[in-house]
Amino acid sequence: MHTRRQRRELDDQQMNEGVVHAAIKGDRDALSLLWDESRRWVAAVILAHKPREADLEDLLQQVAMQLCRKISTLDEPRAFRGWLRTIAINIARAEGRKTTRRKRSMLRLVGLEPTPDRTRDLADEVAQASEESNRVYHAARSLPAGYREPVLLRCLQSMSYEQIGDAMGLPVTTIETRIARGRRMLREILAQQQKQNDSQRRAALQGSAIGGAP
Amino acid sequence: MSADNDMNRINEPLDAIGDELLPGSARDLLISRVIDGRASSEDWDRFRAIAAHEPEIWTELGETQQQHESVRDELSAAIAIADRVELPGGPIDDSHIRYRLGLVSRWGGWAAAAALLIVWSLGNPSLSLSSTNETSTAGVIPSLSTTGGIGLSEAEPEQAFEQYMSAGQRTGRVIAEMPEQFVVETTPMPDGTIEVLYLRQVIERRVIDQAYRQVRDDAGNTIAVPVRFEPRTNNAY
Repeated sequence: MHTRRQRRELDDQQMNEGVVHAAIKGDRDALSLLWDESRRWVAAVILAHKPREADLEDLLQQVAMQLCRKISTLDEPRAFRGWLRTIAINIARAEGRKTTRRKRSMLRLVGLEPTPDRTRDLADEVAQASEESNRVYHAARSLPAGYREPVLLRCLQSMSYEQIGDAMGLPVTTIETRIARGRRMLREILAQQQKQNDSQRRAALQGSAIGGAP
Repeated sequence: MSADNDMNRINEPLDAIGDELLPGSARDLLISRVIDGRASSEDWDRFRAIAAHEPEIWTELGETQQQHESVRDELSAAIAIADRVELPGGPIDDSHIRYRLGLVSRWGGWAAAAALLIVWSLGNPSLSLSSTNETSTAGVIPSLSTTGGIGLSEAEPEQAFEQYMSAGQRTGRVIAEMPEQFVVETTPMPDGTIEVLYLRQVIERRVIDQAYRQVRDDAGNTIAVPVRFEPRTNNAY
C-alpha cells in the first residue's frame, strides 16, 4: 500500500519517464520541458563541481548543447537524471582542468610556479565573505564533494531525497546520511571559523592596548 | 524509519567515501529530518527524549536550520541565472543572449585566426615569416613616443599602454582589448592587500603572406604545415 506522497512521486516519475521517452524520440517540446525542469538542479550540480573562476552560465549552455546533441543516445528514460548529472559534472571538471592548465602556463610565462601557499583556497573565501549568509554558503561549497552536492541539491525545494538519490545513483539512505553529516560538517567549519575570528579579534585588541600604553 | 532503525544502519555496508555512521550520527539524522520535514512521530519522541538530557540539541537544531536557510537563499540567487539558459535553437529573446551572440560574432573570427597564427606569434624559430608587410617588433610602434604628449620613458605603465592602444588603433595594428581579464592567481599579502596576477589580452592585426599550423608527425615531432586559404574578395576586417 503506497502513501499519498509515494503515489504522487510514482505519478511524477511515470510522467517524467514519458517526457524523457518523447524527448529521446526527437520531440522538441518534451526536450524543452525536461530542460525547464532540470536546469536549476543542473546549475546546483555544476556549482558543486566547477572551478571558482568558471562562468556558470557558459557551463550551463554547454550542458544544454550536449543535452540536445546526445539525448537520442540515452537508452533508459529512468536513467535521465543520472545521465544529465554526469554530463554536467564532466563539463565542470573539464573546465577545472582547463583552468588549472591555463593558470600553470600563465604563471610559467611570468616566471612563477604555483605553490601551495600561493593558492588561495575556499577557506580564505569563507573568511573574507562579509555577509553571514554568504559566509555560510561559501563554507557549504568548501565541504568535501561527496557531501557538498547532496547538501546543495537538498536546498532546492524541487529536489526530494529520492530524486537526489536518483541523480547521484545512490540509495536514499546514503543520501540522507550524507546530508545529515554534511550539515554537521558545515556547523563545525563555521564554529571553527568563528573561533579563529574571535581569537584574531582578541589578539588585535591586546595589540592595540599594548601599543596604546604610555 | 525511526531513529532506532537509523542506529541499526551502523551495520549497513560502507560505500567508497565512507558513509559509516559515526557516534552522534543518529542525532545528526534526527536534526536533518526535522529540518526537511521528514521526522515521524517516533523521530520526534526520540528527539524530545534526547533534548530532556541534552537541551543543547535545540541550539544545534536552530543553528542548522538557519544555516540551511542561508545556503538555500544564496544558492537560489546563484542559480537564478539558469532560468535564462535555453536550449540551443530554443526561444532566444533575452538581451544577455543577444549580447553574447554579438560577442561571438565580434570575436569568433579572431579566435579562429589566433589559433592559426599561434606558430607565428610565438615566434617559432624554424619558420621564416619575415615577409610580413609590417614591422614585426612586437609592442613597439615608431610613433608611440610622440603620442599623448608624454614621452614613453616618463609615462606610467597605464599611460604607456593607452598610448600603445591609440597608436595601434590608428595604424590598424591594434583592434581592441578583450573585455574580460583572466585572473591567474590572487594572494593575500601580509599588509592586508591582495596581489592579483591577471592576463590582459589585446587583439592585434597583421598581414602575412603565409600562415602555418603546428602539428605533430607520426614520430611525434612538431612540424609546421602551411595553411591554405581561399582568397577573399573583400577585406575581412
